[in-house]
Amino acid sequence: MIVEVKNVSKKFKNIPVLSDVNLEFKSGKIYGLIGRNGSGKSVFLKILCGFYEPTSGAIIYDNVDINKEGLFPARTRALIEKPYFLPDLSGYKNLKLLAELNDPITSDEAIEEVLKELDLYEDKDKKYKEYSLGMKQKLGIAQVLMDDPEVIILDEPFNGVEDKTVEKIRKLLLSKAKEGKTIIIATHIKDDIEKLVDVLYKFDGGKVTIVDK
Amino acid sequence: MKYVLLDDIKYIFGKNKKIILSYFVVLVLLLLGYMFLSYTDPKEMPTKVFGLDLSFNKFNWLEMLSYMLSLSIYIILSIKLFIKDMASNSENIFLRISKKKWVSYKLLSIICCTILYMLICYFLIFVLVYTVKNILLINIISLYLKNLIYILTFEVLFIHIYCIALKQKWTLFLIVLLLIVAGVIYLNIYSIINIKYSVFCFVSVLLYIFIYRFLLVNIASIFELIKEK
Repeated sequence: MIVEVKNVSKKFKNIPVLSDVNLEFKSGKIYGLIGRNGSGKSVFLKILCGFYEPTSGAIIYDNVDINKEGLFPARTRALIEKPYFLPDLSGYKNLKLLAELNDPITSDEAIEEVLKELDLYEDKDKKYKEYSLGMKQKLGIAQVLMDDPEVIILDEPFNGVEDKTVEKIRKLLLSKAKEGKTIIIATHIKDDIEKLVDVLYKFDGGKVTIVDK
Repeated sequence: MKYVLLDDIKYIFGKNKKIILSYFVVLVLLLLGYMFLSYTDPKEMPTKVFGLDLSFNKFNWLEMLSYMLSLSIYIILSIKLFIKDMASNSENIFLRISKKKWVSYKLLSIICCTILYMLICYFLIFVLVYTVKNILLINIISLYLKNLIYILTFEVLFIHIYCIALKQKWTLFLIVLLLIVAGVIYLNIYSIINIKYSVFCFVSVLLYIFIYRFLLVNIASIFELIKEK
């Protein structure tokens, strides 16, 4: 799937957050977005997901302008800012409920597989509120990956995750890219993603520039 | 649907615990007020506590307070439920289901949450009054059903008004006006629905369908406005 960002600008109450952003995200590649907190990365990701409408410009998924059609992008999953789950239910039950929203419903096997891949299987029956910060983050990533999406959007995915698992997530994302998925990762720590990504973009003052790796 | 409903129930009884518990306390205080200040017949207490006996002829402030409180608590909770997913749970829900499907799920979920919360309130009042005087359960159930239709109608009406107000700020004036009109209408409507209950139900269903259609058509712009708020 190709995601095109054409001349996108975004203002909130006349304050510009993004100015004339032009990017293209292609299948099989991992893209990194870096920039300090408040540089517009999360807003950009929300625009990509169709949660915010750009003030001007267009977001095009495989030739479909999502804002014109009033749609959320198909086959896209995202984790933006903090993961959100029901605290009194287990990690597995949370994923199962979300899986039931999909059409077709995501299979139990797919949920279990992603939990195993993220080292969460042992704790799958533990209540979400009993999870550590890192486990919560991993469950958020599991929520994204379990549906086998074409476009994967992750905002600060390594927050609170222990080094061993960070490495595992990196390998998992690389394997997803090899399967032809489009992966977009935003972080304020360049080192987190520098070795992982194919293309690195820097967000600063509403402008986006490509970073020479 | 299950996810939306469970999340809403959790939100009502978890994050709004203070509002919920405060309302329970106020209900008990109102009950005591009617018992000791107004010397009300225990049989009439449930009607009075929920403000359902309000009329121009025998107006009193305690009943007006009961009515306004009972109505506003449900309106506030329903609007909070309506905006919650758009404000804070977009990735989980809206990348999985369409906005239109969500509108159906959400309205059903608000109805279910109202039924549940109102049931708890009525059960509480029934138990408390029953300890003082033997009252018939069937009377409470009948009152509950009538009140439920009434509250559900006002909930969707105010969700509708809230959505319009998001789009055009001048409608804040309209909200206040409608509040006053709603209050005035109510003063007489309860005696009307006692007589023509079926007509009231029919009008409520029509209103529900109209607002459902409005939300389906306008949900994209409403979503954008709530997100950016």
